[in-house]
Amino acid sequence: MNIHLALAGNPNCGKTTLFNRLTGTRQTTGNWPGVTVEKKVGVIRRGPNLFTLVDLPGIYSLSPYSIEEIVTRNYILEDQPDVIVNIVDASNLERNLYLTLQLKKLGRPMIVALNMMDEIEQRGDLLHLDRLESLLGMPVVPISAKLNQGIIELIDAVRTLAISLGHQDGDHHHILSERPFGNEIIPPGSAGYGRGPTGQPPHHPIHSAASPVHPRNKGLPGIPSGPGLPFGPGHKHHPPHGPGHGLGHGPGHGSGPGHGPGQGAGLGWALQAEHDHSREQPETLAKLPVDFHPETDEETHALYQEAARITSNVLEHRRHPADLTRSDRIDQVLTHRIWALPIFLLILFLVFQLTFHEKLGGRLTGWLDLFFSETLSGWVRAGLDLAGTSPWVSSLLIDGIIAGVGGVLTFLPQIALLFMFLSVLEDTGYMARAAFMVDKLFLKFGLSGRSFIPMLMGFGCTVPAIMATRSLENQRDRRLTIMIIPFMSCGARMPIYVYFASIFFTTHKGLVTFSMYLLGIVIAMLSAILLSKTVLRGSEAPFIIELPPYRLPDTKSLFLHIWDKVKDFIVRAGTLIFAMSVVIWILRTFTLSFSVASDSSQSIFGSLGSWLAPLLSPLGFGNWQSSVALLTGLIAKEAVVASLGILFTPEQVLATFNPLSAYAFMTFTLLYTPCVAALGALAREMHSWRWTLAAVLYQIGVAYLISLIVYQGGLLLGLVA
Amino acid sequence: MPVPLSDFKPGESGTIVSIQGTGALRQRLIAMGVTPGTWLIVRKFAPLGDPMEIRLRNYNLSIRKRDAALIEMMREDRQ
Repeated sequence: MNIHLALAGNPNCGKTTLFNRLTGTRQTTGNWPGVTVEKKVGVIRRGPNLFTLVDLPGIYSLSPYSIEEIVTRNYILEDQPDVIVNIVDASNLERNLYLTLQLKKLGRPMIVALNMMDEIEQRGDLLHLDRLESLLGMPVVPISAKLNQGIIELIDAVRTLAISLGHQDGDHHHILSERPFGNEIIPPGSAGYGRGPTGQPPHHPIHSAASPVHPRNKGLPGIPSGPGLPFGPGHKHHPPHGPGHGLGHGPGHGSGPGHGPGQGAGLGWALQAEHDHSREQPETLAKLPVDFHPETDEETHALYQEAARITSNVLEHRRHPADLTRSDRIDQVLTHRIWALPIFLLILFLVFQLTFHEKLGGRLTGWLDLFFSETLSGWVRAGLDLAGTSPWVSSLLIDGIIAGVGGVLTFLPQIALLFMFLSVLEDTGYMARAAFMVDKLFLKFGLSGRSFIPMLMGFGCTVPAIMATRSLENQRDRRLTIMIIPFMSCGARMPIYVYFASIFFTTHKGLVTFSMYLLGIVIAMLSAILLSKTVLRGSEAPFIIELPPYRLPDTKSLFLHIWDKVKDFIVRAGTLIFAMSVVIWILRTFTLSFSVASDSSQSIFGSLGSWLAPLLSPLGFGNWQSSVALLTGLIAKEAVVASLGILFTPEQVLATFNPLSAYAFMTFTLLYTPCVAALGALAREMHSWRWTLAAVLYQIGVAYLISLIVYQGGLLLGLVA
Repeated sequence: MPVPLSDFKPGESGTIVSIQGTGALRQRLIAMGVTPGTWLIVRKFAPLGDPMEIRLRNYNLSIRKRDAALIEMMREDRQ
């Protein structure tokens, strides 16, 4: 039996942590068709069951004001997951329950995974799970994704629910035709949280502490949307809705009055109706069903009132609500009126120092470089000499593949470090504060503080950074941010700076590298002003963001995230960069007539590069090698260094460039059109070919202009003797 | 007498009377639980003086002063 479940919940509710707990490394990521909202899918096995998990985007509501909200709503209605697992942050119950109540209106089988139970316990608050279950009319499983507690119980509850649905209504869904296994039908009264369907003994500290009275099945069965809920029977979108909500409590949960087969049929009917009108719509995910009616203010208000009512019914605070939490005290320092900005700058400085300083992150890179360029090349050369292969084989292996692929892999530790720091800032909740602090400044550039997060991510990789702009609310802000993100120097461009800095600026390596990042930021901000005053006029979206409590990052999620990026980088090095290294080697070794070139300037690349070189000579690097390296950089920015490594020996670099032209070249690679992967993301997020083309031309134009100013200005100032 | 939320100082609290304006801003506010009748307290202002941080429904929300001007409040007497 394969159970298809979808994870839905607010941002910061621990959804990703739970997903990682459940799936570990067995997950795949992709995009929802038509939109670049990340889609994570994982498969887990428990006993005889396979569970396919889909991680839906983190959202606050189902009102269709963002792509994520639309994607979530449509996924639930069109793909019909067997069970929706709604992760609810118990420490932020009221606001989280609003989404729960909205989700419930969609009429799909649901389970609430009540997360952060450890925080509730820590605070000494009391949460009545049984009341919450009966008020919501669906199973509630207390978990702590962070402490890895309650996860198995959650899975078992999902299975129990799926099986009970199958038992009730055998024909409405594919999974439901299978009969449950005998021992999985739980006798009424036995399904307390400490004891899962598999009969494990209680081992969950949370249960006893947080659920003082919890005979789970008491008074639960067949609870329809209770009186006072604004979407009881006869609600306009869901005619047979009320009775259908008893579905969480089939035989698997103990049966009771009001649980006849008629309810199951009613549910099936509701689902069918829901399914049908969503089916009639085109397959575009970003579109809503035609008959979709957004919630009115009154409906939202009523749902929130219901959420507040439930919260006050189930939660007993031990502390006064005005008391400061640990998070509040941390916040008093980190967003202090005077200290906040110095601390902010210090944190950014530390991140860069730890990543790039030659005694820290830089040292790792130095070791790897030594390994590839000396040790490994040495072994291969010795081995090949021994085997007596022809010189071209060792040239291909050493000057082509090791120089190219190795040149890129060298930077792996630094890129991993950068990603680690960025995700720590994100996971701890500091990123939201950073956006909070820079908002006023960003407004002056026509941007919103929200743009800060995607822009900072741009230092890692342009692709996820551009994808992150979908959290911005209006198209103007999104387009403006997308236009300037490529100027934030991505991790793959770093090797280029380090490559030149270690040749020409040995004494000021760090400073020169840092100046590139700074230049990128300045150009991005100037571009934002320019664009917001011309083609992207209009007002910024409101800055309404949650400032989540500070939390320690989950190490497993952190590790998985970094591993994801590192894996991606290694795969690219092993495939794309490998192939390109071979191609570059061939193109620089052979002439147009496919004979071995006596001098690589006679090679295919030599000829191609020489056409382009005159265009680049005002910038100080009018040689064919530079032109070719820049062209390969369009495929992947790492390839620039790979190409330089193949096309030049270090001595040739010294002879071809001087510090000024090297700096101009670095400037050009910083600013010119990003790699094809980033362009792909850009085109998808812009939703416009005109804007995509405009972005490409703008970036090439800016790169050319600024490099020209750097080089010619430097010449005028007499910077090169 | 209702006053706009933007006039509140850190530490001041009150109850939302109404939300002015239309469109995305209003919708977003309401979706985040900024609804009439809700109690909130102003926590602080950002170091540069804007936006402000408010606490309502047991969570913290950031909002610009110019948007907070649309939220009409009934001020609560400070203890």
